[in-house]
Amino acid sequence: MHELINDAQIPFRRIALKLGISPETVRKRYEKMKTEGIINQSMISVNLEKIGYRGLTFLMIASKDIAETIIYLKKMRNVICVAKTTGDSDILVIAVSRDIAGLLSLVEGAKMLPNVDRVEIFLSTLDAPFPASIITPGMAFLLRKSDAKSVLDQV
Amino acid sequence: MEITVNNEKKNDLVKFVREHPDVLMCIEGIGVCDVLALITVKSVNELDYAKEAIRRQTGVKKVATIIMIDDIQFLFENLDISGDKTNE
Repeated sequence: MHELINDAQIPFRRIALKLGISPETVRKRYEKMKTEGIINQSMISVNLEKIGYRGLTFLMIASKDIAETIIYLKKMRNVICVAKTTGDSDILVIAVSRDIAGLLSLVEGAKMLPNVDRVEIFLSTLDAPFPASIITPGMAFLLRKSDAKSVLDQV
Repeated sequence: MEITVNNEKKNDLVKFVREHPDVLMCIEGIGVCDVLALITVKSVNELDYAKEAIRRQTGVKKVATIIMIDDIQFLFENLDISGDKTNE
């Protein structure tokens, strides 16, 4: 499983060589993990920088109507993650942007949503390394690998 | 966790946090804090332990916790993948 987490396309033969077992044993273990639901799905890792994105923005939002605000946020362009939180803020949003104009549009858009009281931001670049071995399937989308073969490169 | 830290100690702190096995992501940036870390914990005790470990690092001024209480909803359909790299 560790080998597949790092590269879902790795041939069974190569895993077998690494582990010193037969490819058939690897295949059986793979099928068993799929049957038991241990492996849900295989995903691609897209290098967002390759499709023009530069910035990663976290919005910490306080809202009088959390459910309604989440509905609006989920429809906003370039918002890639929404989670309900507790603490100083009510909602955590992760979004990406291509430039300052996109960033301003995102923040202003969030501030203008109904019932939003406060929007705090944290800005970073997209080049932060993510540890592949413990990443969630969704987070894998953000995974930046120098050798990532993005299927969207040619778009 | 939103971490505020002295600038000269920021790199050391990021290195320390990233070494923790339960850290999903630890990034430097600007805004409400200096370093943002996403950490998975199984219990409040684990959360407290992680928070204290970070707080004890040299240069750390403040550690604020945001707890995600629902599953994270990923919305990759909101990405613009049309290939147009101009302004939104």
